[in-house]
Amino acid sequence: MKLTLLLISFIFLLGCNETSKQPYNRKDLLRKVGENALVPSFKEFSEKASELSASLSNLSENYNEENLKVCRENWQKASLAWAHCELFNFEPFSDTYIKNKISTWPAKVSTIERKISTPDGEINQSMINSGGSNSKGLKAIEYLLFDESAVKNLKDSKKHMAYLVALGQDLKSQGEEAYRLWSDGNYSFLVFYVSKDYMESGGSIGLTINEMIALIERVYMSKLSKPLGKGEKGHLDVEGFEAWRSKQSLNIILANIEIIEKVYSSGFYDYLDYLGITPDSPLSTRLKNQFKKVKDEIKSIDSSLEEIAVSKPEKLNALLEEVRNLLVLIKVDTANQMGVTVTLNDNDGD
Amino acid sequence: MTTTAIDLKAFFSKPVSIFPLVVFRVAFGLTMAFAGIRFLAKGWVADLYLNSPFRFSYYGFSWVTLPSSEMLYLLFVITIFMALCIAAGFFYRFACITYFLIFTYIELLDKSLYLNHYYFVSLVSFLLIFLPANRALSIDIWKNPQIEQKEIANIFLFTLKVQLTIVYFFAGIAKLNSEWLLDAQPLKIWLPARAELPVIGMFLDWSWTPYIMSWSGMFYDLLIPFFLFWHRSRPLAYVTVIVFHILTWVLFNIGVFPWVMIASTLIFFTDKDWKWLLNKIGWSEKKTEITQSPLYKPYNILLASFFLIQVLLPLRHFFYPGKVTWNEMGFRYSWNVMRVEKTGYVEFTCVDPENGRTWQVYPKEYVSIIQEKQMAFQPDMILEFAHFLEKEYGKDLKVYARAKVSLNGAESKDLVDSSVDLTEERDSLLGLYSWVLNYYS
Repeated sequence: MKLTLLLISFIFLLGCNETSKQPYNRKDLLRKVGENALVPSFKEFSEKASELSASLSNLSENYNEENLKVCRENWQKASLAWAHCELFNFEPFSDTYIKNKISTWPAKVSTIERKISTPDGEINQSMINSGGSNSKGLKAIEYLLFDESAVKNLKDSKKHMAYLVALGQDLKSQGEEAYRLWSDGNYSFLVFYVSKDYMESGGSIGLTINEMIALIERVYMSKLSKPLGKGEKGHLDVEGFEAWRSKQSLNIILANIEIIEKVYSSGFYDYLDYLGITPDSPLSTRLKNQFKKVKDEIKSIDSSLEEIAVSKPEKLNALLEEVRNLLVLIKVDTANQMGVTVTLNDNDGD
Repeated sequence: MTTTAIDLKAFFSKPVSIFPLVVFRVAFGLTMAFAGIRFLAKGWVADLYLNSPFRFSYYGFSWVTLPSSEMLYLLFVITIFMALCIAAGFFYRFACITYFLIFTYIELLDKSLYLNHYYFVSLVSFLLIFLPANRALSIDIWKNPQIEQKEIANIFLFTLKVQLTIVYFFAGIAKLNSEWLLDAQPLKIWLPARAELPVIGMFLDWSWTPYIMSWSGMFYDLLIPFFLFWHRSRPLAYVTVIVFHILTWVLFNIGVFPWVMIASTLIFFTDKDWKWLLNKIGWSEKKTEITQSPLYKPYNILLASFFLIQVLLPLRHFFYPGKVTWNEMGFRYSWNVMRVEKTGYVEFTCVDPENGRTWQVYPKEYVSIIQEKQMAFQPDMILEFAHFLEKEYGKDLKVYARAKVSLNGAESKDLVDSSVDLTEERDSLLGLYSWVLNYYS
């Protein structure tokens, strides 16, 4: 009995020494991610979508090369802004399907043309809103703004222009709705996101890690490897790149990488350092180095992804390898050190 | 016959109250029925079995194939019903055989879903087939009072106690390593992740808590069965069992395992322990004769072989090269409970030797998320998938794997030799793979 009491006292004594170490405030971590990365991304997209919509309306009223150029530039800005938002498609936002409405790729050209030539009524925003995801959003606008024959139709066909303007209005409205959902008041998705500070399945840290994994896997597999012919098809497929018409695929990839890095720098690096699982080789340092390597590889490419893939495909092998290394650091090392379940529907473990 | 053999025979034949076995039967049956209902309610039949076209098979069991979805649901419903029949002692032996066969069949469908407690359930349901647990307080007795027994031979209770001792003891043996005891891994990862829990949460963030819990977990596993055997320590030991398993239930995503163990360890309470309870509920202590001898030869041989295998299986990895938590050679059926936090990533490169064409295969396009997660760090599953790819393309291919794995928070490393054509490698009963890289290399 005396021995037990002595042991208990000893444990509490040890515990008292530990009180100087504050438990990690995960709500604070999530708030920082929300305020520094998540909400600003949706705000920026909402603004860029609005600018794009305005420029499209302007183009419809006054078609000329200069206005077309402005529209294209605004599309690029909106696309890069969306490349940041792409990371945050977890519940409950994913249940709204706004992501699909804003960016489903590839756009289905035949459906777009059919809707323009034989519309079910007036071509306006409500018609766009009720249509399928592959005939609207950023990729549909890209087709109409960057495809040579579509651009010619814009000039000559009122229906094409009306469809484009309606696409812009719908995009603007989706952007505003997304931003409102994340930021508006005490019942915003952000409040919900911050409140779920537990590490179990469904917690916001786990959701964020899983979405980072999903995005980096998309970059590695769908946005790079497969179009480059590394997959089963075995041949280069330029039209398989995400934004091949505008030749913005590489910039979108860079924006994807940057937003993941932003989430880490908003608090995940600190959390990994706090956990201190590998003090001799901190994971935060390895991640910072790896992000730099990936970005350096992207920046070393002095033309578009679509062009370099044709002219010097071997130059992209190093980029692929560095993206894979980053994927491993997120999916394997980060998930392991944080004890995050790499799936949202796990069976019981033992 | 030697004195020891006579003593042993006397010990095994000693009549003891059947009540602990009845309690075990009811507790096990109800827990398994609950587990089955929970599995259905969570939608895991579809998520884990039906939504993936690919199955990872156990060595020698590739012939076990997935039935139609209707049949699979029906099988789950039957296991639940059979578990209730076991609890009620209704067509007891038939229920035990049916439950064991269907449950084990379902477990054999996919290796990626292996869990220690599923293995435990298969073993116990197999043992129950041979135990006269329906000879009291059962519907079978109500229908046929002649078979009622108030006492049974000690060996029947001892069988289950040995089974539980094996689980705990080898789970303790598995924890006798520097990773668990000196690095406090994987608890050092898991406990801070639960620091948001009320009351106990603040302790989980303290740096010494994983060490205390690692050491106490090891001592618990190694010693608890023996404290449960010893009548003086039994009450306190059982309280410890309850506290320990409820704690693991609160802290970890461990499903029904804690409840299975809390229910199962009731078997350690002897007739003497139950007497005061029996008296309270009006159970008379009428003596009846033991109507069947448990010590007939086939049962002895079966039991001896059953436990010999179970003792050898958890020890086999000591004779295997490398670190078992890394290469997983000898990991299954060894009660490596809660020992690793592992994550991995694997991709495959296929080469057609005829034309030199090379392409990458990302497993997530073929398997479920859970299967991909499990395969990424389990060499036998990587091997099976490589062979599947060769079969899938219908021609001779060379298939190479690149796998990165992180074990208990350590920096990720290559798991397999990426220069080895896995289609040239074969799986084996022993599960030894020369192409798996050494953890320390």
